[in-house]
Amino acid sequence: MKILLLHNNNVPFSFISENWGDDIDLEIEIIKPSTDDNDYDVFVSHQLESIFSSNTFDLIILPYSFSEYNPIEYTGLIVAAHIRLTPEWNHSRKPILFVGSEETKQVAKLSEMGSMLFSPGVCSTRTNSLPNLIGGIKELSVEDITDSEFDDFLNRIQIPRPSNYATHHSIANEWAVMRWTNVIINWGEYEKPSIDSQTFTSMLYFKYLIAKEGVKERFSRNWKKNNVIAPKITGISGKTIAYIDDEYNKGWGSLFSKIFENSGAKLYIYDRFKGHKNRKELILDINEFVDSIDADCYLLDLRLHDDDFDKNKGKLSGHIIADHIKDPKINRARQVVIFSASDKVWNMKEEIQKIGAIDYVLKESPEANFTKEDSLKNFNEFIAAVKKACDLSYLKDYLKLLKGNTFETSFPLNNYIDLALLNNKNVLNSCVLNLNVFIEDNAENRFELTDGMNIVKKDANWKCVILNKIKLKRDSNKKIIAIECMRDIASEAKKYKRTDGWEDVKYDDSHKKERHMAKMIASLFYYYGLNNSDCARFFELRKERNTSAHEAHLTSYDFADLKAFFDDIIIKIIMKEESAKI
Amino acid sequence: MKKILIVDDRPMRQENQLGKDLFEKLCSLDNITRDTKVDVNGITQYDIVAIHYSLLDNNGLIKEVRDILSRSGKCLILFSGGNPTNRIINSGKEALVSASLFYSKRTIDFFELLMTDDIEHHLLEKMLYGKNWKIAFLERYAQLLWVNGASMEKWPDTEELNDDEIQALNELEKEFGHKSFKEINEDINRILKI
Repeated sequence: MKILLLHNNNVPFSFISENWGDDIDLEIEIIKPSTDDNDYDVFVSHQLESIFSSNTFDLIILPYSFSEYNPIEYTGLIVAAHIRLTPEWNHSRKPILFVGSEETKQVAKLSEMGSMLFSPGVCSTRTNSLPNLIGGIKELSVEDITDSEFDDFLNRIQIPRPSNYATHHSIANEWAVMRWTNVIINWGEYEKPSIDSQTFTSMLYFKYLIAKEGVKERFSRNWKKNNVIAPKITGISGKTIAYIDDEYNKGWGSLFSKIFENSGAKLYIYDRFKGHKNRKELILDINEFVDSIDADCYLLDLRLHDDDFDKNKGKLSGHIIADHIKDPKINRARQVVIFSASDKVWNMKEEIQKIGAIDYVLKESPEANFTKEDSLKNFNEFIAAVKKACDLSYLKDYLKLLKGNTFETSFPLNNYIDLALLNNKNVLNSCVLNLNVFIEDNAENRFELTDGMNIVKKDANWKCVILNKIKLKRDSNKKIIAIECMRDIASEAKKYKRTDGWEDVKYDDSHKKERHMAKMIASLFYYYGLNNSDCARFFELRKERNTSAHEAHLTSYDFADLKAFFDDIIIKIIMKEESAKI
Repeated sequence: MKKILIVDDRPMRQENQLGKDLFEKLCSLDNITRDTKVDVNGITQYDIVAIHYSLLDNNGLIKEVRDILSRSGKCLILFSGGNPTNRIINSGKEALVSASLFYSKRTIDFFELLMTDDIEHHLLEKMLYGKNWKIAFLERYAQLLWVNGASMEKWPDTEELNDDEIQALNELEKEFGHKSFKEINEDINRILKI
C-alpha cells in the first residue's frame, strides 16, 4: 500500500520518523507556506501538483490544520478538498484519513468545510500511536470512492465564495474568458492569447464549480470534435471597437485583442481605471476616451466603479457613459453593446432599451451551471452582437456627415437614420419613403424648370439647358418605365430612338407628374452629377415607394440596399451642397 | 484603548461591504483611523494596522511593513478579496483574512470593544473567532500534548518535548491551568456546547 502523509511537524514524531512496515510504502511531505504565500489556494495547488505529478497513492493522511500556531485554521480540510476537487492530480477518489487531537464534531462545528468529514472515503483518528494507526489503516477500505459517492461529497461540501467574487469582480468574468479561450474557440493556426489564470484555476471555489458543472458534462465527450469555432468575427474587417470594462485585465483584453486582430478590426481598450478614485472623474475620463475614438462598436460594462454597488448612488457608471455615447448632440447612432457579468443586472432587456444599446451579452457564470453548448451559445451571442453593432455603425457615419451641414436638420434624413437604427424590417417601407421624400423635397425646394428649357437652381447662380435632353419610355398603360438624361445631344441622341419607344418629356400643365419626375431626375443628373444608372436607381426606389405604399406590402429593399442608395446618391447630394457653400 | 489604522485605497469598498449603518459605526469609532495610503513611518503608533493586501503588494511594501510592525510587536491584518482562507501567522502577530470577514459586524464590534476593554493579548484570535477565541489555544494545547504522545489522562514525558514545545506548554498552562488532554477536550466541548 502506498501512503502519502502530509504534515507540518504537527503529527506525532513517530509518524514521520519510524518504519511503517514492509507492506507500506510511505511518502512524507511537509505543507508549509511561507509568509509570502498570501493565496493559500495557489500555494496548495502548486505544492500538491508536484507531489501528485509522479506518484499514485492508495491513501492520503493529513492533519486537520497545517498551522504550527493555530490549529483551528483547518487548512487540512482545504488541502483535502483540493485533492478531491482537482481531477488532474488523479487522486480525487482516493480515501483520506485525518489525524489529530480534535474530535470530528468539534471540527465540524468550527469549520464551514467540516461537513467533508462525513462524506464517503473520509475517515479520522485521534490515535497518536503509530502501531494503532497502522493497525487501523489495515482495517480500512482503501478502495476509490464511486461516482455516486463523489456526487454525495459534492452535495455535502460547502466551499465559501471569495468575497471579491461575491461583489464587484464576479466570478463570471474569469470563468467566461477561460471558457471561451480554452474550450469554445478552436485556435488552429491562430496564436492563442496568454491569459494568466493561475490564481483563478487554483481557487478551490472555482474547482468546486468545475466539479459540479462537470457532472453535467460527462455525457458530451465528443463535443469538441463536433463544434469548431474560429477566433475571429467575419464581416468586421476595418472596423474599430472600443472596450470599456474594469475587468479588461482579467484576460478579456488579451482575448479580444486576438479575436479582433484576426478579424481585421482595431481594438482600443480603456485602461485607466486605477488612476481614478472618484466615480465622476472616472466617467469624465471614459467619456473623453469614447469621443477620442470613432468606434463602430462600444463594448461597455455597466458597473465600472465601486460606487456602482451602492443602490443609493442612482445610475450606474455604464448607464451614464452609454448616455454620453448615445448623446444626440454628439452622435445618437454610435453603437453600444452591453457586455456584463450575469449576476449584475437583473432585467437586461429593459436595461438595453433604457440605454439605447443595440444588444447585450451576459458573461456566462459557472454558478448558472453552464454546459459547453451554453458557452458556445454565449460566444456566438457575443459575435452576433458585435457584428450587429458594426453593421449598423454606418448610421453614425451618416450623422457625422450631416453634422454642421445644410442637411443636419433634414427631417426625412434624420427620420431615415432613426428608423434604420431600429434595425427592424417593419420600418423598411418608411425608410424607402423617407429617402424618396428627401430627394423630392430637395428638388422641389432648390430647383425650378423654366418653360421646359432649363433647370435652374433657386439658391445659386446655376442653370442648365434641358431642352430635348430628357427622354422617357412608357409601357402599354402609358406608365413611365424609364427616364434618362443626355449631356450632349449630338453624340447621345442616337441611343434614344423613337422606334425603341423613347420620347421627349412633356412639361405642360397636363403632364404635371411627368414634369415633376423630370425635375427630380434632372437635378440629380445635371446638378449633382449622377449618371443615368444611379438616376434609374432613384426611379426604381420611387416606384417601390408607390407600390409598397399603395399595395401595403413589405418592400423588397433591405437595409443593405438602402445603405448602398444612401452611399451612392444621397451622399453625392450632401457633398455637392457642401462644396457649393464654399 | 487600542488604536487601529485601516488603509484601503478604495474607501468605497468599506461602505459597500459594511452597509450604511456599520460603515457609520466604523467612522464614529474614535480609536480608528482610516486612510487610503500607507505611511510606513507612522504605523507603529497603532496597535493594529489593517491594510488591503493588493495595496501593499502593488507598492512593494509588504516586507517593510511586516518588519516594522514585527519589531514593534504590533499586529498586522492583511485583508484581501480573493482569498477566503483566514490564517494567523507570525506567532499570532499577523492575520491574513478575507475582505468580507474584515469588513463585517464581528470585526467592527471587536474594534468597538477595543475602545473600552483593556484587551492586551490574543487580539487577532479574538477578532477572528469572537467568543470561541479560547478554542484556538485549547486546541493548540491539546495538539502539543497529542503530538508528544500524551494519553487521555497523562502529560507526555518532558524528555519527549523540545524547548519550544516546553515554552509553549508553559505559557498555555499559565493561561488555562494544568490540564490533561481529556480535560482540554471537555473544555472545548463546553465552549462549543457539544
